Amino acid sequence: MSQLLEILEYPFNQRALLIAMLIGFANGFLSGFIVLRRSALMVGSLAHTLLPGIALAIATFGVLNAFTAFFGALFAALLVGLGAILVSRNSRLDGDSALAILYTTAFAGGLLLVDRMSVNSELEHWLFGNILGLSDADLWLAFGVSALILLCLASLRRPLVIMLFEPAVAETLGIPVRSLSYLLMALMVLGLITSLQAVGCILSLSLLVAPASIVYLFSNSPRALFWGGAIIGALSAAAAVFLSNLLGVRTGACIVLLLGGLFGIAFLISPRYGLLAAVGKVPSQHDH
Amino acid sequence: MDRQRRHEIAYLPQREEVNWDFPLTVRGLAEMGRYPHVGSFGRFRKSDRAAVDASLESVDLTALANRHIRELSGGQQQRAFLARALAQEAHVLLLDEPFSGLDLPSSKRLATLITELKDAGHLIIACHHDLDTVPKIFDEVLMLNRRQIAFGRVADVFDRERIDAAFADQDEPQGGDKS
Repeated sequence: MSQLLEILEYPFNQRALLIAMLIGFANGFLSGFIVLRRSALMVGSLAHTLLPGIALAIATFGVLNAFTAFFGALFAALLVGLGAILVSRNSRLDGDSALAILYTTAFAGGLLLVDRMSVNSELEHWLFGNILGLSDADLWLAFGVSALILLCLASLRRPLVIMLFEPAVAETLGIPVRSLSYLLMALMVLGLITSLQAVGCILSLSLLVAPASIVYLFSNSPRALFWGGAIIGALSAAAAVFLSNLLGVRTGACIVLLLGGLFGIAFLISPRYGLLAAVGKVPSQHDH
Repeated sequence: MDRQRRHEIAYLPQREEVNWDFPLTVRGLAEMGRYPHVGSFGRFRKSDRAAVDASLESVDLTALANRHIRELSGGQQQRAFLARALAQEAHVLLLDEPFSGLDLPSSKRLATLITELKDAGHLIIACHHDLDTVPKIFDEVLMLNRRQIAFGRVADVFDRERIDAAFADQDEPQGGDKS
């Protein structure tokens, strides 16, 4: 216990804890929508566009800090994400294929850019996260973005859930499906960019999928999915800050491992949808 | 369609099109029907709850209101979607192959329910392929085979000759029936 309190004596640890919980909460909340949208792979490709985004930021602004990285990543991810929607809507190609072409192209472009620049050590922080090295400005950025994500999603939860369940029916009910799906995409990018600081772009997908997936195995309520995901995200991130301090390992990897471990447990013990419950049980009553 | 009239038409998707893993209970599904009345930000009032309760009652799913939608039989699933249409206070119901995949008792029950809804003043338009049941369930029929073959009262136009024409020689036989 005293060891835990000792960790909190350092300002950078306090800041790290706060940011981790903020990011975990907002991304955990967002993860419910991503699981319902069944778009985890799409978010994964967007996560990869963050690297070219950062390279772009360095090339454009000359410096790499929270704000330039933020704008670079936002630009690249929006370009790729919205571009994929544009291509799939206006051609016979499906969204996943369009996205795959665009994000690998962007990633390759980013690599060439990075090769041409003298890569500073900070790039590693963007790839794998560096929650202990964050400034007050990073904290405010995380706070602002998290608040924006939560505000949008919580207030638009009703039409969003109907849209995710049945887009065609949602449209007949007067829900602006197209605008809402662009908005959701933009919020996913924002979520990715905040989690970039904590876990890095390669692992950021975890915070945006795992929390709600864990709840999904236990609950049949979308509301529980969102808020439960948020709480799991925040607590795992907080626990990882302590754990990584005690063990002297990377915080980002700790967050992801904790979430993965929790999911594994959920997958085993979920009374309805778990592996143990399924063993020896006849396939549950399906439609007849 | 103007905003006030949005709730007038309800569409029931084919069962294969539905994501049955979506975390949604029967009541949650019926509550979706209140969206045109409540909007994105409006509060869910007592009257909305009453409309949902009444819709579940009229399709006889009150006892199963808290079941997940996957844990229903095929017939119950169709009735759950009908409950949403009723909660929506829709007058026109568009049903896409409502009987497909249902066993006989479930089909009969759904047919009875559709007749009841018709008697209550709803216009039911269904895409339907089971020839035997057309006269039992529907009043009017529109027969299609790329083009319109016939349209009118079932008693007047639903005969052997037109049925043959509806299924004749085209690659993809198509039928559309209407009550």
